[in-house]
Amino acid sequence: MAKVKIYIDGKEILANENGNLLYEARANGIDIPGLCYHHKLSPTGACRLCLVKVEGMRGLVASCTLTVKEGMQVTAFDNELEETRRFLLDYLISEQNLEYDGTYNDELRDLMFRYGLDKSENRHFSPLSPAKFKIDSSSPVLSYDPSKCIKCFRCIKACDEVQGKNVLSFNERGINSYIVAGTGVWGESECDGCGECIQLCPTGAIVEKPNREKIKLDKIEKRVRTTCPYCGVGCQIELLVQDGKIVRSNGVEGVLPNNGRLCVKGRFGYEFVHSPERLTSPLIRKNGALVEVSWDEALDYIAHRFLEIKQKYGSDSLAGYASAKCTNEDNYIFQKFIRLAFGINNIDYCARLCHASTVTAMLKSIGDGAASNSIEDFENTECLIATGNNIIETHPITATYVKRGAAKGMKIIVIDPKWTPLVQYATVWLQPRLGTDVALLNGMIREIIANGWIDTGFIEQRVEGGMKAFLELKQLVEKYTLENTEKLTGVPVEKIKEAAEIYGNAKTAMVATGMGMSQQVTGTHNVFSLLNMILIAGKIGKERSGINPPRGQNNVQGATDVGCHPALYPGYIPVSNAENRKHVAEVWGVPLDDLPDKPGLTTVEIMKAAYDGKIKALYIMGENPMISDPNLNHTEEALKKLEFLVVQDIFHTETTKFAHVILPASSWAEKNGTFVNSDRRVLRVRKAVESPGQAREDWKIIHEIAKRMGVNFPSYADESEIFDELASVTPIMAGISHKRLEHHGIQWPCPTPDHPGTSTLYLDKFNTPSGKAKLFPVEYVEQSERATPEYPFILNSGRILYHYHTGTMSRRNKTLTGYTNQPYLLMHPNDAKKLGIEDNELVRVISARGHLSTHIRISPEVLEGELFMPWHYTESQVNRLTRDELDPYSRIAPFKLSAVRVEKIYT
Amino acid sequence: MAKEIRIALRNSGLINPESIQEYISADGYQALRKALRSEPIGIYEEIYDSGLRGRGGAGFPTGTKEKAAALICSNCEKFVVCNADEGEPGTFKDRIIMETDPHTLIEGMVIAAYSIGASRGFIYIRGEYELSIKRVQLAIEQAYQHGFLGENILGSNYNFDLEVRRGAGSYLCGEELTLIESIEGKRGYPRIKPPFPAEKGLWGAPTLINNVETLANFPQIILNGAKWYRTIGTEGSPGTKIFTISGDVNKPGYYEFPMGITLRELIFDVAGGIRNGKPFGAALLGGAAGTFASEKHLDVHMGYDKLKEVGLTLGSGAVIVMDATRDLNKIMLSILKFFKHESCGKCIPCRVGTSHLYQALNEALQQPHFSFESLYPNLIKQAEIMARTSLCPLGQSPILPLRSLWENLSESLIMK
Repeated sequence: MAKVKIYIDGKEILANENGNLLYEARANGIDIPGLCYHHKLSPTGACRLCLVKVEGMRGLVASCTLTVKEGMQVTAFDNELEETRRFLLDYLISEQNLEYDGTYNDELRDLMFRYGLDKSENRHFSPLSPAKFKIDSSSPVLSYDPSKCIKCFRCIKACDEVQGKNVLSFNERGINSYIVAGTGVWGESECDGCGECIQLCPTGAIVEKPNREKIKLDKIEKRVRTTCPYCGVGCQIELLVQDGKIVRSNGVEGVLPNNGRLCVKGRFGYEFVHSPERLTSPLIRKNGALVEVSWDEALDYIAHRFLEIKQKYGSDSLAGYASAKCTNEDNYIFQKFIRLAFGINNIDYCARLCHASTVTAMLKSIGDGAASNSIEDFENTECLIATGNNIIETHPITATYVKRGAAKGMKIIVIDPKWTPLVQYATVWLQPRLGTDVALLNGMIREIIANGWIDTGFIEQRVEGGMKAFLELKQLVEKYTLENTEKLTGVPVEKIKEAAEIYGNAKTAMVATGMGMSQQVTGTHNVFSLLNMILIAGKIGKERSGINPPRGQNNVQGATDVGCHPALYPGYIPVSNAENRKHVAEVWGVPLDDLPDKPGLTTVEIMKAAYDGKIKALYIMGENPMISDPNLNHTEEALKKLEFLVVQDIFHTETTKFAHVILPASSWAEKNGTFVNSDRRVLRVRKAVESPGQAREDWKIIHEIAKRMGVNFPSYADESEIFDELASVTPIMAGISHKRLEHHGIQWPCPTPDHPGTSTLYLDKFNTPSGKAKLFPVEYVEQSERATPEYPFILNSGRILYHYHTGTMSRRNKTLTGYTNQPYLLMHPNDAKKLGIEDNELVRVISARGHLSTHIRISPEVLEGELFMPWHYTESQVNRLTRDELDPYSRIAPFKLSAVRVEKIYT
Repeated sequence: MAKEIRIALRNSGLINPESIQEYISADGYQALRKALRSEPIGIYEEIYDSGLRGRGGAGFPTGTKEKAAALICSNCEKFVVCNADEGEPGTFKDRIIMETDPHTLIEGMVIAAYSIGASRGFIYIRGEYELSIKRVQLAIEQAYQHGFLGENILGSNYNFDLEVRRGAGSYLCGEELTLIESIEGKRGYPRIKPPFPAEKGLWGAPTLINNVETLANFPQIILNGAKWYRTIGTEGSPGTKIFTISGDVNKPGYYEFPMGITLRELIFDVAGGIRNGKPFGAALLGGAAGTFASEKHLDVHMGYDKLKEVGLTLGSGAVIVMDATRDLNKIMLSILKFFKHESCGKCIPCRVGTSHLYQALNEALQQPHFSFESLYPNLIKQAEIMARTSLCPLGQSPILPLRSLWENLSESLIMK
């Protein structure tokens, strides 16, 4: 950014051209007071405390409303200005409730001391007779006290400008004005509890509820910067620790990916760490009952059993599930363990069940199975397609970028069979019937081609086969006329045209593709079709244009990056690559023959092999397949058949019920390491609190088992040493170290220590062998599972904002369960009418695989004939109903499409 | 006795305000016809040369604003807004124009819009003005039917659409940037200034915003020329002004006179003198955000500059007359109560200051004895800081009545 010289009180300052005067002054150590300004918000000019004198301007001007210009002469401090500020503060204090409980930062109080107004003899105004303000404590997460509100607008702007939610406003006016959420009651408003307003409130007007009685800012032992443990956005948070416990979580301002923003889970979802239900001791099942044992006994027993089974049935009989919740360091050690101690590549994890198809298609077509672009591009692009991605609920902070873009005029195309909150911001919403994505995308491709909205130059230069390959695609999509596409998908012709026109004509466009696309038996084809559209329109390989699959879990990206994959070593290098195996063997200090070269089994295949008696022992680290796997009745049988199951977790789960040994692990707040977020950003995780009882870091547990199995890993002094080893076998992270991540994350690929990281992929070439992208023309194939007279509905499943995956963490937070904690089934009003079902009525849902009972929620959010259920709830396990039929290319299961029937339960 | 000259009110009472035919018969829309035949530059230069100043109260040269809005960009979206949110106490001139001759306003607006290149306009009318809203709306419909609004106006290829927006009872929405926020559908809070509306106004586009009376002068200036206009009124304040006289006079009402008429003429000749034969006490010029004149000001010429010379303001043209028996402290109190009630609360000095001013005077007036000598200077000191630090004109206003009352009429305050 260009710099200009300005002069404040005679001091020469090098300021950013067109920067905000108040911001620039403070950045240069000139502490002009002010309460309504915040660098994330547009200037308000309400408190008038930042008044200055500027040569050439009349009177006093609010510095927060001025733009820096070369040569500007500013007086920030003189007697008159300081007296004026003291007068205004004196005024402000006269309308304020000055009680302070030490639980929040109070910027007004700080100024009160600075200007000597803490002493009543220095005050000149008697308190104004206060209006009859009422505290609103109806929200599950915060309370608002109007008597401490200075009416600075920061909360309103936090909600509007930062989070794009527009929930807050003023009621009444003048001296009687106060903030209201929605139409007046916070708990009944659309506020979703992200707490951005709490973070930006300069006084004690808006304060968070958790730990209200406990927290004292002067007793905070440490503030630890780390990465949020929930979704894959990778928000940077600061944990406040008091008496050895986390008492608050704030967003870290000024660093990507979140720039201080958090969602309700990131701000309030830490309570599970200190849950009394945490596992604190190793447990061995003896005569059917779990018995607390010492670490030595547990570890010896595990090593002994694994070796015994390996000897008896061979390496093929062992497998491991890594964890998208654990750090890169944990996962790296885990895959190393499976490959060396088990001697097989039977390692996989839940990524198989989420974006495996996306990754498969992207690897083949463009060369990397990760986001092509950076999170900021979601704000700065002209157009966004969100397909099968409920981004506001599943990736709330990525969604803030989208909403800010929408406020600036970005056009949004939502493709989703179910209404999502993003529809409220969308230019057009295409609502295809479940499982018809390929048809819809082929129809859009045909429309784009028919109107000449393709990028011929891009196709010729950057697509394998150039126009010839394009013509093959053109021929294939010929039959997907607008009318045919409408017939196949149910999306009206006009909407297909509109969407194609917006995308085809946008100069830049991003695509966010989610589980709705990937979790189908045609998952890989869905993404191929999407990539075909992106490629012919030339909307990838440049800034603000590309495809980002937002990742579901905190480290689902990283676990694959570091080799938790049956066919890939760390850094996406195929297990068959002898050269790489040689290098890895050297680094690991083992003979080349010790490294298995055949791809192992994938998640669902492991479970099927267990069912068939081929897998005898399974080591699960931080996963809960008894909720997350498809066709749970089958999974349950499979787990029961295992001769030996080790589950390492932080809580008892539905899966630990079947374990022979349960090991207590450290939670994310109790360990050091790194996560990789959705835009390939490697981010630090730092230990904030001690583990409860005897719980240990995952990698240390694995290390011990390895040792006891005769496999000697180096004795790592700390996690940074593990990362160094990891970097030496993971070329995309070769230039990264813990030290480099101290202040901010780095986006891979980062091949050398002086490489800054890569925010946008494919600027010069694609990561395929030819360096060009590849089109994969695909036909629409009708789903094998379809509605029948016996099972007349198609059931979709997914996540909601307040809960997370199998609920192990999120359901142990009172703040989150305070919003919602009940499973439900969404049904279209017309269907409910036909079945004679009332809202909230208890029903049984039955598929060919299993059944469950839950309450009905009647809503036009779904199409007639389609249903939706969140899958977080153990009391209504959606995956009792789903299938384990797999996408042949990626082995993902079709969580999004199950034929069911719904029956009333007469009680 | 001074002679009334009607420009803005030239048709008032003479034609049926609901008949466009009668307006047309009275040379209506002839100025528009003439304007559309000339280049836009000719129009704003004419207005500039006429010396017309904003009749809403601030008295800013209209031509300067118009020129700025015309020249800031070409082929870009622009708006013309009419400020008809007449809220200054004692002021009802705009209402009279809208009720008795709405087409004059519409004609003025189309001329103004054409001169800056705006294709869309809004008339923001005070919500309580039911009859004004009805008549302006009817007049807009008629103007569309007769081709004075809409596409290809009078065959000129110029298009202009006009619609009415209703205010909802906030005094502050008469402040131009707040009014613009309100049209945008937002709550009426003042914006940071600069940028001025001519640079960034409605929806961020260059916007010309003028008062009803100002725009009602446009047709006659265009028809008769700037030179003619300058023959009326004074050098610094050309033209006429509508004065709305209320209070303790025998003939309250609205009167349009050339600028430069004296206060004495207005009160004693035009408005028939003080009621019940009582002696003159004071006159509040320009409403709540105005100034108190005393007997010594009776021979001041009513014009922007002459009044400024003696520390008074013309404002909206309201003249609220008080006989010598009135308790000016109570009148001041009601003014301060008004500001407290109307303060939006956005900035600290206005939100808190308007309350303190009211509270201090109110408490003093409850006492049997209090010291004026310490009270008023203290109120004035606070109001001065408010004026220097407030975000918008509302917080900058209480100083006007306070200081003028204390400077001009302190003796009658103390005597009470």
